[in-house]
Amino acid sequence: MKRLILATELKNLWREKLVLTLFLTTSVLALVAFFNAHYFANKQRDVVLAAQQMQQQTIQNAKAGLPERLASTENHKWWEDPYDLRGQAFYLMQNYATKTPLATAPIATGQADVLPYYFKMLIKEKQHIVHQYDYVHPLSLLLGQFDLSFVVIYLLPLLIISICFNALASERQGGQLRLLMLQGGSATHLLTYQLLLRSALIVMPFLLISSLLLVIIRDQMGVTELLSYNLIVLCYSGFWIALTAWVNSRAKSAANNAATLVTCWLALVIVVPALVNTSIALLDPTPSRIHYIDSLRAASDDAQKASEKTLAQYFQDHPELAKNGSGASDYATKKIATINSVERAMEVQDARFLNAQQAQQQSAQKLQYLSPALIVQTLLVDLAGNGLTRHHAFMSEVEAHHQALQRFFANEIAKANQRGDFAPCDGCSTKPTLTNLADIPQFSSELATPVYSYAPLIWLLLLAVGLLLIAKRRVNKLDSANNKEVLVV
Amino acid sequence: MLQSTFKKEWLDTKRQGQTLWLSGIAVLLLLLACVTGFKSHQSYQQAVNEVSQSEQLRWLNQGEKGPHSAAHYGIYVVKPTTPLAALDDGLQAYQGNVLRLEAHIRNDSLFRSAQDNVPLSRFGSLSPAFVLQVLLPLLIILIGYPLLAREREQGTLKQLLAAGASPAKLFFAKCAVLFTLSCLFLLPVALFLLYSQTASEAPYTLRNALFLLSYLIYLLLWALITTTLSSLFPTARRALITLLTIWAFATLLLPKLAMNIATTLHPQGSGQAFQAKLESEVYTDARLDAIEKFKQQTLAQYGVSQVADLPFDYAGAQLQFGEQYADKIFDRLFKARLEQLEAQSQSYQLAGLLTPFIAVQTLSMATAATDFSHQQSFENAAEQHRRLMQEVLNFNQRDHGHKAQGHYTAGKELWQQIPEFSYQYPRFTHYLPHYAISLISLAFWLIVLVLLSLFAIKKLRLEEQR
Amino acid sequence: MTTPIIQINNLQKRFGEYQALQGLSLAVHQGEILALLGPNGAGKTTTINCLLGFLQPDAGEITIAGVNPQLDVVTARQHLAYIPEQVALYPRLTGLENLAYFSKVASIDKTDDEFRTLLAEVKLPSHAVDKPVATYSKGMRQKVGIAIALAKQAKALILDEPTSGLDPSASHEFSQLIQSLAKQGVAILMATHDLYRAQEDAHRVAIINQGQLVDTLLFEQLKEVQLESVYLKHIKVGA
Repeated sequence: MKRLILATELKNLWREKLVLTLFLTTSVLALVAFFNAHYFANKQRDVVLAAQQMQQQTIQNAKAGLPERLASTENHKWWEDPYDLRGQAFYLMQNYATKTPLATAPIATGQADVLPYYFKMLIKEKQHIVHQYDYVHPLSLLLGQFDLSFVVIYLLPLLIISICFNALASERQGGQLRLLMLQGGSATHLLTYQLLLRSALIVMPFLLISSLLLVIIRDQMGVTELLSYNLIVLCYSGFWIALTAWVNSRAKSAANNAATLVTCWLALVIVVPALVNTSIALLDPTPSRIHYIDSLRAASDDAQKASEKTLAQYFQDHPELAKNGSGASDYATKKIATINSVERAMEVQDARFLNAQQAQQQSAQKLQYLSPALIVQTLLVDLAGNGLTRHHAFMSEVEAHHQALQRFFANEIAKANQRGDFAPCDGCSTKPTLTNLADIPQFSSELATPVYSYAPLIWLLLLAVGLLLIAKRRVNKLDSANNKEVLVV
Repeated sequence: MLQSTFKKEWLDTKRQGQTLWLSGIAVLLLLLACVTGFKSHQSYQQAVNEVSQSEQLRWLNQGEKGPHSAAHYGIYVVKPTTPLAALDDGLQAYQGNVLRLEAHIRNDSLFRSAQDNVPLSRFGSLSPAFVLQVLLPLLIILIGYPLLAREREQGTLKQLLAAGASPAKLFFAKCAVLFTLSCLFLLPVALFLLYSQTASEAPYTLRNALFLLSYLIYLLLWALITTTLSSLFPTARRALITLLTIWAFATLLLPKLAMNIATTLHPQGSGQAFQAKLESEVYTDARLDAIEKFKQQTLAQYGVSQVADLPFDYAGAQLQFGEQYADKIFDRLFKARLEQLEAQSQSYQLAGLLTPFIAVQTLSMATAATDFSHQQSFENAAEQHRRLMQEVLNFNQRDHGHKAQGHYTAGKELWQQIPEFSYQYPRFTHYLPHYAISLISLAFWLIVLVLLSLFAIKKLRLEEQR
Repeated sequence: MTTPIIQINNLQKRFGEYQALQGLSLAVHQGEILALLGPNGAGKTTTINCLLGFLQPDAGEITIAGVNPQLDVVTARQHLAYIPEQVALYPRLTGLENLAYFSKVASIDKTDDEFRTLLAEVKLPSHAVDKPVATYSKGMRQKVGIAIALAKQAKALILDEPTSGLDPSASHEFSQLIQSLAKQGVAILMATHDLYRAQEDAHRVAIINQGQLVDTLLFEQLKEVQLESVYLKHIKVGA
């Protein structure tokens, strides 16, 4: 019976030229989405590689030029001298902190186009470093990348709806259902196999092609990640199939089904996410960055005005850097001390932004249960390594690296200062204070693969099962002879 | 005809319930969007005013220091908004609204608020523009798809035509019902525009008018296409499915695809490469040579052999020369980058010929001054201000530096010589050529759809004769 | 007399305020054609829906070849075939494919050749057998419907307005098929407005009005009376 219904359904769809159309549509969508997101990820990877290469190149160049520099007798301005600690610290350093896209990146670009993924490090206030970003057309950010998650979240449900809205309904309206049931067939079976076959025609080619591309084109695609991706997409499609089953079981006309399903889609994929977004922002509003600038300026002014006090405080915190004996400290140490003080003054402000974002993320975690689209976006973005968890981990590493650099330069500058390396005798050349650039701490990332909870998926499955059960009860009623009303016309 | 059609559709609608229900939700969403849009616009504008003012005070009260120190101290300027931004915040979240003006460097704008948001924010938030551009067309479709198709299915269409109703009148009456209904949704928007028109001293009349007009045309387009397809298709079901497909393509798929293609067609190097290029092109040996040449020229001009003998402070003159030298490179590199981005904008606008969504989105953001071109105007004006600042400060150093005993410092008088940066958007007529493609696209769509509806009317007439 | 294949006893059905059937009793025997006449709203369709097991009567009893559809709808339906005014087939499948599909659903396993023979038996033009049903005329669709009934070897055949909209020759061809089915022993219940066909084809005519049987005319009587006047008399009396 199962095979008979499936074969007939397939024959019907084939003659409607739907099988090929759908196969082509989903395949093209999978191809376009994958390659678009793949190129986007690769562009970021190339930037990361270029930055790392530049960093190594600078070290090599300095190494090669060292003998010449040691032999030179002319005076060097410290801010132009790559062999001067201060020049490196404040102006010349080619030192990058980078985040390489994961193999899963094409699954969901997420915030990867907005969030910075590389930082050019210098000894200056952290606040001036972490706000660097890639200048791209803002419209492309507003519209977002055409990636696999876009197809999964927005288009797959629409495609499922567009092919399944008239399952059973068309047989009911056409009268074939009556004949089928008189011949001993069952409405439940018909609806089940119709939905399964039709949605499989959409979901399977998409999953197959996108998975194949992920395995073949992306390097080091993990099996777990691939399985997770497939599982998430299947659960999400499952929800939409269940919803279609539920709507179809209400025994309304096909046009009515289509309108209801599209309204559901609109509500769950467009309106609820937008409302959730608006309420998240209302519940925990992001502080104003414009006011932030004001605070940053005020903190800098205060630190500058109190520069002697700042320095004294700094030495109290870092006694090892204090110059033996008395005497004014040098410009560089003073500058680092000021930077330190500004950073400390801004800690409260920075924390406000972080806290607001974390509070928003927490609300998002709770409110995501309102829409399957939200659940799936969160999961896919995390899976792709373009979520907040991985970004926060990266930012902590960047901060640690920034501090390591500051410590390194503060120490070395203090030592050089104590040795008197910055005050050479009249007429002789400035002494190189940094002969090996490889001594500067280099960024190394040990980002663990993000851990994600599949709990929301269970909710999705529960919803799907619930809808299916209701649908089953309703359609079973069609099959039974004990109806007060004529359900099958 | 019109009146009776209105009455009949109203009765139909009332009895169906579903339409009323949907419309009610849409109105609520729109009102909510208007309120939150207005609130966030207000708090933004308040922040702009406060911080601009305190920055200006900070600048004036920075105390006695060398003019070049002041140049490094710099000033932050903030991009203002227009009242229309409450209705369409456009790209506000995706471009930096703060710019630091300082010596030697042309900075990029800072702080894109999208960076502070959670990934979920990429679903888009509820703004009036979003409701008008995306949700309202869908509502028009859901209300309008059965207008003629169902009459045909029920057989009432044949009766109407047989009873002597003119197909053209019938068609336009149905379309008018749909359009009038959708215009009701524009009411809150129109009221807001009226309010901002009367409340403001210098109202953006042209912007407001064009904003409203483009949405009116946009809604008319959707009303026309819905009525046309409802008239052309034999069943309501097929009309609905076709309309929904068109909607998904027009508002969801094509815009995203168009921008992705535009960025691929006009690729742009990475920010890292751009920064590296800026540094490597400014700080070169050629620059040192140019400075040396400038020094020799200056010495020769005044017939002296060393800078100390010049009748002014050479340091100030060289700083200004350095600024101008770098400015030329900035102009070239920033222009090249901007040209790519502009090309992306124009390609995207061109896709407006494929979907009116792009045209209305472009015009809406443009009139609200929240798009990329207005951002560029602001950034350019800020850059001009930066150069003016540098010139005033460097010339002051040049003209007075040598008179001082020891280190020359200037004070509030000098800081006051630099006018306060208060940015006003240029008149919209200035931008019109830039949006020509979108204006043409809207007109193009209007013509196409009017022709299509004429075709539909012709088919109705044939049906009448059958 | 043998036990009837279709037996209806004191059938009652109410839809809200409206009493559709008020104690209707009918029987159709093996090889008999019973024409069910009655104005719109007389209860013809309700009766058919109860017979087919799509509707639960409030009271009364139905048996189809001895099986009550309310108790065992599956077995009852095995004995039944049904041809509505518009036979519902899949328009994109051919006549043969439709026949094969609906037969196989009923677990009737035949080869394609056997199905072709069936279609030839109901006189479906051979050129149409492998064409999609969308291209068929109404009469051709009905032939496929009869073929489905034949394949099933149903004991009872229920027809709902089978000849409305058929041209006279198609209508004639159809009644020949019905006659031959009856000769094979099938009990046939034909709800119709077509007095002429009823008079021509039926062995018995049952006139119902307002959910009640108001008259039964036998084949012999049918030859003598003017069916139209009898019918109109009963309907007016009822009204």
